[in-house]
Amino acid sequence: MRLKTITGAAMILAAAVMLHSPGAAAQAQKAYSFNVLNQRSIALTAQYWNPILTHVSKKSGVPLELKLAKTAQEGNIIGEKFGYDFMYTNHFFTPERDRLGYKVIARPAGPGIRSTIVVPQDSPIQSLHELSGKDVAFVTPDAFLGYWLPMDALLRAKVRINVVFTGNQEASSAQLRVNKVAAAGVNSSVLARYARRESFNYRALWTSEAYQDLCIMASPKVPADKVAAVRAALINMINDPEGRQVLEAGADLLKSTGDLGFVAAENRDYDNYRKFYRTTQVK
Amino acid sequence: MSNMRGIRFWKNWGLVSRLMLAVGIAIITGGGVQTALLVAEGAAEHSARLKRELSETLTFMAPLIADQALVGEYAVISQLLKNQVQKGEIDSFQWTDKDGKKLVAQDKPDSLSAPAWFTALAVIDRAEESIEVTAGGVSYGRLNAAMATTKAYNRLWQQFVKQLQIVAVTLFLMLQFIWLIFRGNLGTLRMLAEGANRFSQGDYAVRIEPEGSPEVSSAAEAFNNMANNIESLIASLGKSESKNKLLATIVEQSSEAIWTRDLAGTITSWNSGAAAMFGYPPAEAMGHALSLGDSTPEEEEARRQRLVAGEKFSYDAKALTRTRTAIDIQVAVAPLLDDTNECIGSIAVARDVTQHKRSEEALRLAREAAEAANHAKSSFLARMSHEIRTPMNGVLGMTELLLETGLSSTQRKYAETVQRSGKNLLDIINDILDFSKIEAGKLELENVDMDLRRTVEDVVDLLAERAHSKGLELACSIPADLMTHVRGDPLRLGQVLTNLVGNAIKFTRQGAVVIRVASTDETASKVTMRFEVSDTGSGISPEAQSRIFDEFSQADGSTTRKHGGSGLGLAISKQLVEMMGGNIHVESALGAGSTFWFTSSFEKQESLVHEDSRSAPMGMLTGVRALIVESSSINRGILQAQMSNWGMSNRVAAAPEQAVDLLTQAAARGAPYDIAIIDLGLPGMDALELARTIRARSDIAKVRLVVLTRRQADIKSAREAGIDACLAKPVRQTMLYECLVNVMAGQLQEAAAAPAMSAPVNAAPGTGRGNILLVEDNLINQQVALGILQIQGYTVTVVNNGREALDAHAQGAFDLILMDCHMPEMDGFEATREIRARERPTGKRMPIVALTANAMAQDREACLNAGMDDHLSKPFSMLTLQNMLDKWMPQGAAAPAPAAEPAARVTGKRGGVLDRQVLEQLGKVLTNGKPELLTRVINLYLVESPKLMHKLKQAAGASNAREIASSAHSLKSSSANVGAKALSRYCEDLEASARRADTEEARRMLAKVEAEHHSVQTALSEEFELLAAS
Repeated sequence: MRLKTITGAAMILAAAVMLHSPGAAAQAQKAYSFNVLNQRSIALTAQYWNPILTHVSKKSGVPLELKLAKTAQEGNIIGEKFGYDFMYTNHFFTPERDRLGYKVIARPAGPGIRSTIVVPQDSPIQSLHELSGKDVAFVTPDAFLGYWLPMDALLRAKVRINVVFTGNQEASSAQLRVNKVAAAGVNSSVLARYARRESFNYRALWTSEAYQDLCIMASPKVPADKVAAVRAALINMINDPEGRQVLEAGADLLKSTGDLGFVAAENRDYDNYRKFYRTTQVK
Repeated sequence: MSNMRGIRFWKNWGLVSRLMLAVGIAIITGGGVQTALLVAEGAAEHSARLKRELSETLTFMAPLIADQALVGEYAVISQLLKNQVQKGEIDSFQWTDKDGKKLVAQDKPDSLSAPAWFTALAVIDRAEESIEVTAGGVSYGRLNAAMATTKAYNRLWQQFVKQLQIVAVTLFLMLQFIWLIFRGNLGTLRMLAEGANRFSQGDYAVRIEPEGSPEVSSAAEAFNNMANNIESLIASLGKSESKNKLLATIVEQSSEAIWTRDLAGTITSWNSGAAAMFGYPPAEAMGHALSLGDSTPEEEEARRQRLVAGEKFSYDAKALTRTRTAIDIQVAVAPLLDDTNECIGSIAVARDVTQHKRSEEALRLAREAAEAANHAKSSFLARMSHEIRTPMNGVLGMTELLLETGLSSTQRKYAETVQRSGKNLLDIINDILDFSKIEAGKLELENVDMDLRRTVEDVVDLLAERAHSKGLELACSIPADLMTHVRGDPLRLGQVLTNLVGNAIKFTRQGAVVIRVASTDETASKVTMRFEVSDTGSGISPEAQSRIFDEFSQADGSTTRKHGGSGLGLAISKQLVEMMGGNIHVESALGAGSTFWFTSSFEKQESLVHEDSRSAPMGMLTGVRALIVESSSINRGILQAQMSNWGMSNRVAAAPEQAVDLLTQAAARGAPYDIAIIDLGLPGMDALELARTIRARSDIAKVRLVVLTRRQADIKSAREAGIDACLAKPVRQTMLYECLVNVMAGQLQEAAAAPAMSAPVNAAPGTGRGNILLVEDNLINQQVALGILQIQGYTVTVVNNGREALDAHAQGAFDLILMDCHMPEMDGFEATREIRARERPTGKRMPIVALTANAMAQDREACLNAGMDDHLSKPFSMLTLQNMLDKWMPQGAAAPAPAAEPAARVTGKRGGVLDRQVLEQLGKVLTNGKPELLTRVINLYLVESPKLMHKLKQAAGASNAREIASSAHSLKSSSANVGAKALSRYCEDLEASARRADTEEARRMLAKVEAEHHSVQTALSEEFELLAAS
């Protein structure tokens, strides 16, 4: 009798322990939405980010759910309405969006990123001025490195070009490679990866100063502990064997040879963005 | 039972029906199986395809759905599903997201065209599958899909129907093709069958028209070929059978004995001929090993071996018949072969040659008898020839002596008739002897060096008198460049020519007889000559021409009687010509004369084969202008040709008046003729009158005159008439040339060179001319010879046989011996050998001339072999004997004959070296008015001849045959002119030796010539001194 009682108690206890595990808790909790800026295709973005979010959810105990918008603009609009809890973006440093209160919590490891205006290696064009009247590819009107920075440089150089939007960085690179456009304004890192993969030789006419890469921002509406847990899980990924494996798989997927993992970041790390937006001639 | 019926039914079916049924069943079965397999395979393929397409579609759709699900575009997902359902075979899609929300897309169901039985038999599995849609390990939902089988069933049904249609069409076409193919060939096949039936029933003429496909038409052709072969085989079998029957009949009926044996010798067949020959009926012969011949077992075995070796042969044997009668048989045996050519026996054909053998024996005996008779005839002929000649010698010799005595005119006439008849008889005997020798094949031709020109001219000389006595011209034309130095038989050639010319003279009343010689063919070693004798006689009818060369035949019987003769002359001539490698022909027409011509081949003389032996061109008369005054056109032509050859320009005048005119015209032109050759028998004015006329004319008197005459001219009259030279016709070409040269030379030197005045050889017979030993046993012959020799002026000692001759020879000094051959005690041959033996140590040689009545060539050989020098055939004439003595009497032996009219200035002690007659004649001519001329001529010889002698010696030292011949010729000619006859003859021999290129002999003879020349020089020097002193 006593044994039955003990056994029954143990079973109840075990069930209780199981119910109180982080996964179970997360499963029970509302998932926090995590938006990734549309830089790549939806499928590739999901294939890269879902394993990371799954790992971070598991490690942080904060369930994260990947939410993608059809376009960057749509995502920005949703973000402006606090439709996402976390965002991986660099579009939210304009004065208007800066005021919404999104907080930088982490960024991918590695140096900053630069924008560049490039032409094919064998192009006769040697300077920005020679681009006058020519088609130049840009990513989207919202793209910082893929439009704002290069366009600003062209405007400041008083060069009038025909703007061609391609949707994303790789598309701009592809357009330049097949000579659909005379030049392209792109993220130098993305272009370098593309060029390595596609054996494409190019020459830069102009390159911006370094800006930090996209960062993970947390909505001011997410509780701070959740934000801290997520930030910690992200930063620790590189140190966690399982996390590292996820990161390496993601790097392989994107054919990236850059630094792995995420590092801590703060709002001030992105002040040059804010400054640019204040002074840019791009409208 | 039904099986039996089915088999019978099947058997009754035709080839086409069988083929169509078989092909139909094969196609239907094959097509059905193939269709079933295709349907089953199609159903399985459709099942697999549906499953595969479903899987592929889901795999394709999943990322599309995932993308839209990530961005929450469910409307897009719904639209994607609907689009996919509409365009594929997918029946339905269902999307269920992770929240359980569903989106369904269902296609409208298609109608099923395949019947239920088909779908029941060909099952296509319905495919259903679902796939989880994930991205980056996160599931966004599940997509279900199901494939409808309706379309697949419908497609499979359509394939099935098409397959059935193909099978049906194939079946239809195959049956049609079979029908079409066989429809054209069946007729031929039926005809083939029908033809074969008819052929088998004996209709061998049946043939099939080869129509239809190549196989069928070739079958028809093969049938036709087979039918042809069989038909010809049957025909040839029929022929072969007939032939076999015929052969069997021939064999059976043959009078020859024919039998066969096996290898053991057993007779296997025996014909009726064998039965008749040997007397054994077939029943007794066949199956037995009859021994038919007298052969030994060894001979039989040898024959058997030869047969086994496949040899055919024949042999003669003696056989015994059944009645033991011996018969001679001739057997031909051949091996009997089987199909593999193995000898299985023998076949023998035998002929009874008993009668033949007897005939042969009789023939052999008859031939031996005939040969004996022939031999007896030859001996008889030879003996008769000898026996007749001996009395003939008496008759002719005595008649000739009789004529030398004082006879009354009547007696002389009788004696001359006797002599003429005797000569005719001798000619006939000679002809018969020649003919019988030719017939017996005993006539042998000589092959010695000869000069054709001399032979022909000798014949002309011989018969000239006879021609001239009939008033006929006798001319001879031999081209100057003709090859005349040949090898042959001069005697027989002369005989033929004499016969032909004699006939021509005999049968020609007026006109001329001309001999022409020409070369018709010439090689390096041989020359073929054509001799032609034409006359202007009565001619010969064609009928007579056809048999004129037959023996005992003349142009007609009447002429035989009229002209006499044996009638053998032309037959002998024909035989001789053929022996000389030629042919004889006659061309004639009645009243137009005749031409007999013959050809003959001669070898060139060896020494002259490589040099030009033709008569050397004579250039000493070149440019001399001559006028030929000749009435005979034939002679004119011959003279013209000769003079043209000598380089003389000449013109002819047919009459004396024309000659005078031509001479006058030429003199008036300042180009007078140098010489005129005048024929004595001119019409109107004779030659002497013409000469006087010419000499009387101052303008033409300087021309030199040469007269040609048929008889010895009266030299005195001729000289008085102013004629420079007189030549007797027929004129030898060389004689004419030398005469013209001399006449021309004399004129130039104003001295008459030795004119060629002819004189009778026997004009003045000498006495005490030498000592002759006559050896003769026959008293008549002794008297004949003695009489002739004494008349000739010789001292004669007569003995009766060889032994007496030896004694006389030992005791007396004779200059020459005349030796009969056949005498008692010791014949002439032995005596001669003994004399020669006695002479050997002394080095002297007594001339011995044989006297024999045997005229055969071998007799002459025998005489020469015995050591005699020459041969004189009895009967001989006075002239012949004189010639022989002249030839052989040593020159020193003859004492000078006392001349009846001694020459005024010609004397001398050396008359033996010089011919007195020539010198006397020369003296007479030259001293007539110009006595110093003879002195000059002799002086000329004394000066010139040593030069020639020197040249001769030089040439001999250098072995220069040509130069020897040339110098000897010159010396011969000049010596003859001054009467040095012996020297001239030696020179002639020397020249002949040189022409034979026998320089050794020439050198040997040179000593003799030199010695004789020395004697001549001495004698002439004495003459010269005497003449000069007087």
